[in-house]
This record gives sequence, structure tokens and C-alpha cells, in this order.
Amino acid sequence: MTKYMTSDIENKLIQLRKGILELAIMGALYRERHYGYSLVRVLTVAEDIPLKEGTIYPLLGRLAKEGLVASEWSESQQGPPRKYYMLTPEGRQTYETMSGEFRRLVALVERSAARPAKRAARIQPKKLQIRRKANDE
Amino acid sequence: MMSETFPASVKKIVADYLERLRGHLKGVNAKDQDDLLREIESHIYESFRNRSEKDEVERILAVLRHLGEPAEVVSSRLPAAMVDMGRKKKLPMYILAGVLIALVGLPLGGSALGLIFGMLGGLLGFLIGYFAVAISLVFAGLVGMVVSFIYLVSPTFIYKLVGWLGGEYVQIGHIPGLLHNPTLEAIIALIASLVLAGLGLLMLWGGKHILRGLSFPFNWTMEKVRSLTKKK
Repeated sequence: MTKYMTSDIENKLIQLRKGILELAIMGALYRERHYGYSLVRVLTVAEDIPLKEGTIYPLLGRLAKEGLVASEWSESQQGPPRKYYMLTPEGRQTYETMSGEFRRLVALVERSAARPAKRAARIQPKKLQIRRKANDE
Repeated sequence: MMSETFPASVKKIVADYLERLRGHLKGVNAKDQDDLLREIESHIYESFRNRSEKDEVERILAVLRHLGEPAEVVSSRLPAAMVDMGRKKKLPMYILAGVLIALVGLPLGGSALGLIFGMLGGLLGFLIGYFAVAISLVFAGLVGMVVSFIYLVSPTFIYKLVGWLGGEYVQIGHIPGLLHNPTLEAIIALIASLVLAGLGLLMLWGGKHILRGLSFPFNWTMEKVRSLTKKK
């Protein structure tokens, strides 16, 4: 049971990170265009998001498929050409809406965590009871 | 394309990594394949140039470690490619893979869903058939029990009843060569009905386990569908 719970939490964290990472990528591209490696640098160094570098490529691919991001190859002064990504007008609008919503949600999470424990205690036992019942079966 | 890009000592390692990546892109069209491979090669180059490890081999290994396994780099393209390949050849293999995915719950994206839906449909048909048989067995058993009980108490009533219905009387439990004995016949019919009903109940009881076993792929699929519709 505990093992299941741990992987459950991990799953939730992965989901959460994925969503936020997508938003962070769009945020970086909102300010300027990037190629994959520079995007990774911006996210990991400047914004301190831990990440396996390769994971941004599937996300970029999906954003491109959704028409939020466009790309173009451009020669580099040193080494092979780079593929630059930028937000499309639709992507810019989506980012504005989403970041606004994200800020609201963050504020909501922080507010409800700061709320006095009295109210939380009233809700909690009921939830636990349902859980336990489901586990007994 | 990478002849001058990397020093000789690491060229083979990079080429090997890109080759493994290409292996994961089977079924993706050639243009997209080349595009992604070029992009990843460029990433490896930039990362290699910017890292500080002195030993080149050590440095390239660190680059690839940070980049992640080829499977991670292509993860979102994998399911679509899988379904595409399945259409072209080796369909049974991919159905099997679909079953495994459904059972193990690998978090592959939505395109594998079509495959899984087909299988779930088959399973659903089987389930419906199974329970229909179980229920009719129980029902037939119950009716049989009632009829044979009445026959035990009053054989003539059954004779009359069959006559009203315009049917021909069939002796349940009549053993050729034995004397006509309504009580014996009724008891044999009663036992037969009990066995029928018992069999049906047994199937129903066993069905509980089948349902429990199958609920996972069903729930998993529903979960997947829900998350997909939410995304849109």
C-alpha cells in the first residue's frame, strides 16, 4: 500500500512538473527565440528547474503540433546549424492566458495552505474514512 | 554530416547514440526523423562545447547523461509511430503490445488508445456473453425446480398444464425401461434443475473475479480518455 502511495505521489509530481515545464518553455520563448540547448540553459541555470535535457524536445514537438510554437533552422557561427523556436501569435496569446491562470492558482494554493487548520480538520476525517473503507475491501 | 563536428575520440559515441535514437524513430516519416536527429546532434554539440570536463570522453558521456536516454527524447512520438507500424506489418505483435500496455499501464500517449479500444470491445462482448449464459442457467434452474416441485406434489397438474399450453408432455428424468414413476422422475428433474442453477451461480460467482481482473484495463482506459479530453 505504501509503495503504491509513493508511486502515486511521484506520478502526480511528474504530471505537475510537465505542465509547469510546458508553461516555463513558453515563458522563455515569450521573451526571445531559443534553440533547444539555449532553452535548456535558460530553464536550468536562470530559472533553476531540474530537468533531463532531452525531455524538452517531445514538449517542443507537441507545442509545434498544436501550432503554439514555430521553428526555423539557422546557421551557427560555430558548429552545426541550430533549430530556433519562437511562439506563434496564437502561442503568445495562450501563454498570456495560461500564465495569468497559473498565477491565480499559485495564489490559491498558498492561500489555502496558510488558512487556519480548523477548517481543514473538519474536512479531513471524512476523506480518511472513505479511503479506509475503500482499502478494506 | 558530423565529420568535422566532433573530435575523433568521441565521434563514435555520438554516432552510436544518434543511431540508437534513430532506432526509436522507426515509423516516423523520414523528414521528421532527419530533423530531430540533426536537432539532437546540434544539442550534443552545444552541450559538449559548453561543459568543463577536461577528458573528452568523460565530457561526452556527461553530455549524453544530461540529455537522457533516446527513449526519453522521443517519448511523445513513440505511440504514434507504434500504431503506424502496426498498420503496416506485424499487427498481432502490436495487439499483444497493446494488451501488455493495457495490463501494465505503460503511460504511452493517446494514439495507442484505438488499439486498446478494439480489445476492450472484444472483452466486453465476452463479458456480456458470459453473464447472459450464467443468468439463463440460474433462471432455467429455478424454473425447473418450481416445475419439478409441483410435479412431485401433483403430477396431474403438470399434465393438465402442458395440455392447456398445447404442448406434448415430455418426461423429464424418465429412464427408458423403468416403470413410470412420477416421484422418481420429479426428484431426478429437481436434482438436474439444482445442478443447473448451481452451475449458473458458480459462473456468476466466478464472474466477480473476471470482472475484478478486467476492471484494471477498463479503468485505465477511462482514466486515459478523461485526461485526454481534459487536455483539449
